Amino acid sequence: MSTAKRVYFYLVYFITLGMFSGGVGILLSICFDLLTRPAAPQIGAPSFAKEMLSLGLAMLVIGGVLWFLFWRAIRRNVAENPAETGSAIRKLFLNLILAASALVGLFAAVSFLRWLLAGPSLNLFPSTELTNLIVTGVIWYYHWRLTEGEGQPSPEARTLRRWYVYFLSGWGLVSLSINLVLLVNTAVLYLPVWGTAAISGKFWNISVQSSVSWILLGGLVWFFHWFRMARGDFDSTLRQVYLYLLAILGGLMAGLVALSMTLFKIFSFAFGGAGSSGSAYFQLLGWTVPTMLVAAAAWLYHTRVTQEEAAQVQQRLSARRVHSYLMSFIGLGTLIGGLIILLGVLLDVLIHTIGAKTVVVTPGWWHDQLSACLALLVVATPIWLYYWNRVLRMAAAGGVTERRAMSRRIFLYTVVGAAIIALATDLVYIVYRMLNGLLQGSFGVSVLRYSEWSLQSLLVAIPVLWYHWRILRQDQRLGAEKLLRRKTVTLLAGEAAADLVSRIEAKLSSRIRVLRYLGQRPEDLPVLSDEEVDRLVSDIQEAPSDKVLLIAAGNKVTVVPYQEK
Amino acid sequence: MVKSSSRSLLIFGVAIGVLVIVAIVLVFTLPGQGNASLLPEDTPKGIVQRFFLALEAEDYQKAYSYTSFPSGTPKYEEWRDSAISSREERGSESMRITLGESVVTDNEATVDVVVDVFSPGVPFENPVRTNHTTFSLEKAETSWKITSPTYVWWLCYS
Repeated sequence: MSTAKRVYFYLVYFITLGMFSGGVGILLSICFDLLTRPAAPQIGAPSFAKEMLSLGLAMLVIGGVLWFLFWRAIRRNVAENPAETGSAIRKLFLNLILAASALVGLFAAVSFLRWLLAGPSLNLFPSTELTNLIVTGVIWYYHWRLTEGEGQPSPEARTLRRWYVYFLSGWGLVSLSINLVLLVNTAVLYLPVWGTAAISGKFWNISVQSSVSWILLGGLVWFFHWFRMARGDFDSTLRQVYLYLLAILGGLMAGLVALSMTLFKIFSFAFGGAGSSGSAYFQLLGWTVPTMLVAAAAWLYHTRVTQEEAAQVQQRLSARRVHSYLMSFIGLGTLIGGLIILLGVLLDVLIHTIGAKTVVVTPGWWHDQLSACLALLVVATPIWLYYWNRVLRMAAAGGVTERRAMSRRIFLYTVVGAAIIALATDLVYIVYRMLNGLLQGSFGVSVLRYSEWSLQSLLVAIPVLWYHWRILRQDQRLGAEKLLRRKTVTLLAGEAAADLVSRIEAKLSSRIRVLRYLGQRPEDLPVLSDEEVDRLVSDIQEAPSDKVLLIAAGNKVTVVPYQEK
Repeated sequence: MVKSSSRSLLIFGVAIGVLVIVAIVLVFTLPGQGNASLLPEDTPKGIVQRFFLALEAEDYQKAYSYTSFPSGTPKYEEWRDSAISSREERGSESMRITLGESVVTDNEATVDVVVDVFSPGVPFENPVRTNHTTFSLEKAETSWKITSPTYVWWLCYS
């Protein structure tokens, strides 16, 4: 089947499926409405029902017939041509249908469960939600059986399936986490300890019912997609993105924000008293503490998973590396923020000591600033130290290959660039104020007062710039910035070559294409030592052309430079 | 494999057929189909029901007589004009109004109302727009009067 024909078939299939399922949904909705609300006084119900029936029948008949014809044609095509099951377009549409039906079904299920939890009232029967749940459930189940049955015979099919699996896993994890926090926060706000600041009304309200529904169903979605559908999928880059960037990094960031807010409140309380009414002051703990707990649980679990998986396969370093540099960046940025505020407090004290004018300061001015900077420093310092230490160890162990890594270059140049710009801006402002003071004859404490923020920022930017500039220079001396001609490398090897592929990619710091050598036995695949891999990479880089084919057969890997004509 | 998939298809087709038949039967034969019998006039629900019936019958004077807005506004003419506009906006779209829970506290009451408007649009769009509104009423001597909502423009924007 040509690409255009394939797109035509699957697009019309998709649209007619929507029409057909819409018609079925309307008829189901009519049935539920009429069977569950007979006692409720209604106005205009008969003509309303007839209109819905008319539309439902029209959509069902026309959409159903068309859908059936296209469904049958596609099935026939797949039966005649089994390679169709690996088609990217087919898999794209199937996974889109799975994702759309899963999400619509999930929202409908949450609404339905919320109605059940509220004490089912027939007057409020959620016929639309139940209809959506049934229809999308059937659609999802059918297409899930279909995709699992035919498998993922091509790299494109595997990739598209992974997008679906990890997207839904992420959705489920985030829904579960957020609603756990919301539920605990609501419970805390209803406690009788908050005096007049306590929330009135029933605890078991629509918001709590909604949270409970999302916890149960979001958790189910995560469990199914992560533990069942993603099981054993170690060779996936998307899995690393889910683990490192969403679960570990996302969890850590949420936890850090919550921890910073908590520490700020605690320090503020310790330095200056409760300020506003003490009973409501720590209400924020209602969301910060559960956020920290949930974030810690997500971080611990997913970190353990990455450690277990690293022991099983040659770990893909790129996602781990990106994670380390991202966390270092976040830690460094937060640390810089805390230091700037701290210097600001000290400069403020100095300026107002030597300055002659009396300044009216609102209560809590010093306490709040001091609390903020201490909170940031307490949170940021261990984070930055831990991850930056890991980065230094990775660079020491990985040599010039690690120092050449894209994420490292981006990190260093971003930090150095930002520090230089900050430095320049601060210097311009300070010099401007000084010159202006001199020329206007008003040089004094006022110059210091106006330049306060720039001074704070300057005093932090200088050591940051100096330190990272030294690291950059060191990398340059070690040859990390020597321009390498990027080669297009293709490896022809059997199924068992995943480990070899990872090792070559790690040394080359780039991905390689893999052509499957059908029928090659695992014992025929050459086993290379680290030195042999280094020599292989050298041969690749010294090859006379930009395109290199590696043939893994006969107990060795042959490097074949080639050119396309 | 082929036999089992043909059987599944047959079962699916039968299920759809049964659904169609059941829906048609229910729409045309369910006992009590039609507007619900009038509720007692001295109840909040009864007043709200009569209010909507009057609106549907375009008897705006009668519908307005069931209201008693604080500070006397909007006046009848202004209120009627907005009701007519919202009716014109809605056009021929069918509407179904369901009266829900009613809570009475001394001389005040609330009635939950669900307004469904049937408005088929683009494919994949839900053809029914639903609006949940709460009517507030106050007891004036022996009868209940609607104090809010004041306008009914929302009927066409469900």
